[in-house]
Amino acid sequence: MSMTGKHIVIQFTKRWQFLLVVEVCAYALGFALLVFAVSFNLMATMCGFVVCGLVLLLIRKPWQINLNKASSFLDQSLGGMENSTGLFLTPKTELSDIALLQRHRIEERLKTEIGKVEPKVPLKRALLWLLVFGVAAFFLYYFNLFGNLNTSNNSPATKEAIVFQALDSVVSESNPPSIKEQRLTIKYPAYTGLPPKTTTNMNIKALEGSTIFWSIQFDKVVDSVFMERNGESNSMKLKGTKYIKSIQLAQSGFYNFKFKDLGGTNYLSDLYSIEVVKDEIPEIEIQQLKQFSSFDAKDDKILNFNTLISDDYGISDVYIIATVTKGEGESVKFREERLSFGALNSRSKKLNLKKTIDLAALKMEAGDELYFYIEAIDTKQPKPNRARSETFFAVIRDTVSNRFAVEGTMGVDLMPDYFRSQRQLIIDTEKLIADKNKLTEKEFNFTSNELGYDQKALRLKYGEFMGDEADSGIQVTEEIEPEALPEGEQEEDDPLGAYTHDHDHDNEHNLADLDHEEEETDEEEDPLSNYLHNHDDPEESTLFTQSLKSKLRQAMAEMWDAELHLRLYTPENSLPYQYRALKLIQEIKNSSRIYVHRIGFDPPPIKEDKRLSGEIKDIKTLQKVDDVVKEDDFSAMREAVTRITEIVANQSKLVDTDRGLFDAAGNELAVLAIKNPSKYLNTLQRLKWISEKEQITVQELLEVQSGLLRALPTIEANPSKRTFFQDEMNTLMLKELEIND
Amino acid sequence: MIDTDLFQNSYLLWPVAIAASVLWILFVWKEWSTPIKKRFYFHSLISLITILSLAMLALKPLSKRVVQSNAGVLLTNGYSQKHLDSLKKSIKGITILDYQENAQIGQVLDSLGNLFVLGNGVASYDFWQFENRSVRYLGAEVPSGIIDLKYTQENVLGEPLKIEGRYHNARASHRLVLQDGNSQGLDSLEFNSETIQAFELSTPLKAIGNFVFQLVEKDSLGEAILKEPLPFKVIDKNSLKILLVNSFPTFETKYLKNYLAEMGHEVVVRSQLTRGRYKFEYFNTKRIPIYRFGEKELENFDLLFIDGTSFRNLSTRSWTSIEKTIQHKGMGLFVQSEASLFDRSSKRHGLEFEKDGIPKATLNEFPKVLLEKFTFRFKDVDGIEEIHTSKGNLVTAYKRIQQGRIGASVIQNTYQLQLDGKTGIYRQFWSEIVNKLSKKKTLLTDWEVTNNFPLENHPFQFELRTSIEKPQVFSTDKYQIALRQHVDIPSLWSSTTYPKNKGWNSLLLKDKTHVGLDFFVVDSTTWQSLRTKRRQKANRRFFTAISDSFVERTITASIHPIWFFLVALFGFGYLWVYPKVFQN
Repeated sequence: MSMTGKHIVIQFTKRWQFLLVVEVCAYALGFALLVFAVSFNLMATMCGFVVCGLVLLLIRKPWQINLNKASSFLDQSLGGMENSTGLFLTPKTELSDIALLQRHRIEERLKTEIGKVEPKVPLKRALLWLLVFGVAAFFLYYFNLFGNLNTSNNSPATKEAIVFQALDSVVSESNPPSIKEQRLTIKYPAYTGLPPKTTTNMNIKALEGSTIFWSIQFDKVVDSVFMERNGESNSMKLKGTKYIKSIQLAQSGFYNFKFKDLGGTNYLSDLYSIEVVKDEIPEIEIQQLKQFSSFDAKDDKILNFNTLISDDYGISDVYIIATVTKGEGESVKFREERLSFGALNSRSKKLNLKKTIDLAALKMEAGDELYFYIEAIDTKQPKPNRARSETFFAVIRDTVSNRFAVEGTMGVDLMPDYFRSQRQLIIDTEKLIADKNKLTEKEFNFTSNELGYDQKALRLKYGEFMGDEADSGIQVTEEIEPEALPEGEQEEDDPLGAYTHDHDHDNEHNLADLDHEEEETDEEEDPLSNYLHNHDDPEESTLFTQSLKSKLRQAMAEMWDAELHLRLYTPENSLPYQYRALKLIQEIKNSSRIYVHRIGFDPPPIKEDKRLSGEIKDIKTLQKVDDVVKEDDFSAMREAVTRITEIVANQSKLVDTDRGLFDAAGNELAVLAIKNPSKYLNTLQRLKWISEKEQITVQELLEVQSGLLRALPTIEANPSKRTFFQDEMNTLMLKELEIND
Repeated sequence: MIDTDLFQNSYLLWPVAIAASVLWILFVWKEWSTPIKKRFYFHSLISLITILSLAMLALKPLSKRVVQSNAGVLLTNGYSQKHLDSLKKSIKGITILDYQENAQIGQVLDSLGNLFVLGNGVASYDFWQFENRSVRYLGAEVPSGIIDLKYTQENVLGEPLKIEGRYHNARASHRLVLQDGNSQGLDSLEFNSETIQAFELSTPLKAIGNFVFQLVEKDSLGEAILKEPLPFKVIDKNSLKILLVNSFPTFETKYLKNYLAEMGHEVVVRSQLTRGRYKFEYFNTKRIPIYRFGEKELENFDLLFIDGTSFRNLSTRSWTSIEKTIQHKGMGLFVQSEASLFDRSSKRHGLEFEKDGIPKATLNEFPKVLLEKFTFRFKDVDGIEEIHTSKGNLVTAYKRIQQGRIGASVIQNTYQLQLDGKTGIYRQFWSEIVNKLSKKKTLLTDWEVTNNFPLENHPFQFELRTSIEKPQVFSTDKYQIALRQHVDIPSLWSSTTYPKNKGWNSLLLKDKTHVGLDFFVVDSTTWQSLRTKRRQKANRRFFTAISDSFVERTITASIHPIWFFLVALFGFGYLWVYPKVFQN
């Protein structure tokens, strides 16, 4: 369908109008984006968009673009139109023939050329501005440049202003005094280095030791102003037109203001909280260091670690306390040293310190141990906080001392001698291997077999420790020829006799006639009962003994193999097993230290006839009087609840003593409210009110009562004297029951 | 002589009889004097009948009838229409009466033979009107709501307030909430779809006074549907005076004395050091050493703890004094257990044990706590009363000896609970024992009330037991209330009062030192389901008691006069028409 010239002009007009509207929208949108970035408020953004759009519409006036305007624009911008586009707008019937001809000619030309012309609308510029606004808005939004402006926008006057209510509702003045200016200044302790903070918010949260200054100004002259805190009422000083007061923060709590106007009416404010924040102790974190480090004598004995220390207000000092121990048992010596980290960046809140400890520099030798921890001190005054890290250990292993560790720590050697024979066996085996060439095969095999036998004897002895049947095999102790046994084993049957006192276990012996010789005869049945854990006793079956047991088993398994190879005349193959067995046995020996602590003092029995026969003339009857009633911390709260029930039940009025009671209850509740303000603050506020106000409704009282009941802790189970009614009938009845029983 | 009961207007009998006789004689004379004597005898008879009928009209004769035909039904609140319809169907012409509280209906009832009562029943103060009548209570449906309620109105501080009850026709997902005076929830439960649901709510009591809590039913949206007041009184604790006697110091005693002393009780501990030498410890009390157990020394003590050894070693004289103090003064005795206590049964304490071989016990109150015990249990014999049981075995029990009590426990080493940090359980354990055994404070008055929720201006009945000779009771507004002494029991008094004010009211004795009665008067809109259920129950009980007389008996009723009138009319008509028609 071919369009007529008029249609083309109409379409062009509409397009023009549309583009104008788009332009306006682009500007308005850009502006709206800016508004949003500044205000973060959708409503304001919408308003911005609408207002800006309307203003621009009024300027641009897209409705003024009509057909005439469009046709004249086309005439001007298209060269070949010969000022004739106006012909399309007049009806055909009104045109002359020439005009019709001209119109037809132009129509054809317009159809081809209309694509070349655009309405005169600076759309690109508009879109460019939109882009600029958009980017600007994005940056504003992203970096929150107007964030502060925004929060302070929330009209502090309405939220934070101290609101006073008259206590006497009867004398409600039409225009009571109100706050003109309120200011709270928190001056932090000097060591924090924080600047003083001034605010209008009366709820305080500040560091312990800070000083608080209040300054309030009324719009009218008032009689006196008080600040009530922790049950005390302190008057505020008048300085110029302002009432001021200052305190140093020591404990959390609540406070409120109270003033009296010239008419004598009292006004009370809401409760405000004081929250005292304690200076945190420094935090210490040690990296790249194991709790236990051990070095061999030949190693480079260097500890390297990183320490991260942080504190909320600054660290004043950090150092290491190192303790070196030398020697063992009773001969142990301690040496304490303080190591520093070098120069500190004073007062910094975070420190990352590197430290290298050279054990050699601490003059540590093999067998010495080092214990150290890091201590950090913060800048708090007057008494700084100290923090300690956990303790770290470093040991230079002493391989030699291990073998005789037991002897070193005890007054007596409690280890039975057979433990040494494994070492003896190794020596003998090594000797056998060395002498192999000198010996005949028979001699060699015989000695090897003998050693295997000794190995078996040893194993069976260990088996006894494990609770294995001792007579399962050969009666070892009897069969071994004393010569065949290594030195250590040549002792008498009871290796423990020297260290045990028989009367410790036998009450039949009388203490008076002690006879050591008689007692030392034998103790065959269980030579180890004193030194071993009785595993049947659940108290002694610890994790530790479990591992001991398994080690012993392992050692026995190694001995089995050692014996096998000795019996097969291959002592070389047997050696590794023997060594392993020896190592295990040594470990067991070392763990035996734990027994030392478990062997308690076993007092000698007391002779029966001597019991309770002492002189008692010096023993006096003892009399002790004590009052130990646990004070109820909430007695006033309980009383207040009771009093409220009375007031509600009798519909009586509050008297002065009630106010005192409610005050006392408020002080008790404040202790709870500090810990849990969300739960109890409301009740505390109401309690304050009813203790001050003249007229109180029953509902208010019930609310307070409910809050108090909720806050009161449950009473502990406590017996009480019960009551019962007694008359002749009851008494008769009980007597009858007793008779017929 | 004619039975006067035959006529309603028997007082008119003679005048009417004379008049009728005269009238009849006149008639006979007139008939005789007429020329036609054809039907003389017949006419005389007719006239006699007619005149008698006239006389009957005046005299209103009575006839005996079966009541069935004269039954009534009394409709009280909450009757079901279905019930009434079926009653109407089975008994034709049943009289329907509407019940109004406190209205006289005796006369109406007189006319009825049998009375059926439909609905929730009549008020208990209207029962007298139904005495000696044959009434059958047919009842009504059990009301929806709380139909049973049990809780103690007077509680001791520190103990929980326990509310038990049953709810009829609860809707699932509705909740029952125990609220304090300010509508703050303290405990709640959710109903399921069962028809009758038992509920139990509790809250610890933390202060003394007269409280009014609320029992509130809330729907699933939390809207309160029902709000019932729950008045109760919390009274203060009284401290006890306790003596602990040990032959050597034990941990058990050490912890026990610390606990009791800390709780403010007066505690005296005597531990033997050696022969004749003791260590006395006095907590919260004066220094009065106790060397011998005389009645005078013991009378102030509420409870005596004694260990097994000391108990065995008591001299006969000491034991006699202790026993007498227990019997007459009501002192409690707790024998601290040790193995030797169980081996031989002692005539002294009278408690019997048997071996059960179980070394551990779990008390019903604390099912998760394992307690050490001796391998014995109490023999459940007559007269033994439980304090603690473990799986049905008595582990702590006591026996009454007249006024006092002797108890023991097979639980041992309870101080271990404290060491384990279970102080609360330890305290509850001993607190229960001490509560049960210790001497009770005797009261001179004892009030008893049947109705927990009296209504304003409705009768409130109470009973008073007192040893005061002539008690005088006054209401809150200082009016004296007359008391009625029981015929046989001189110490029992009863009365009825009509409380004028809602809320807490009290009854006081003239001598203010005696305990009065506090009671809470509720609104008639509250506790309706409970009150309805109670009324139904009371009605059922009352009418069952009297329904033995519900037999089909006959009563006399006047014969309707229309019959006599018709007979007389026909008689007169015949006598008038006959001469006119048959004269010729």
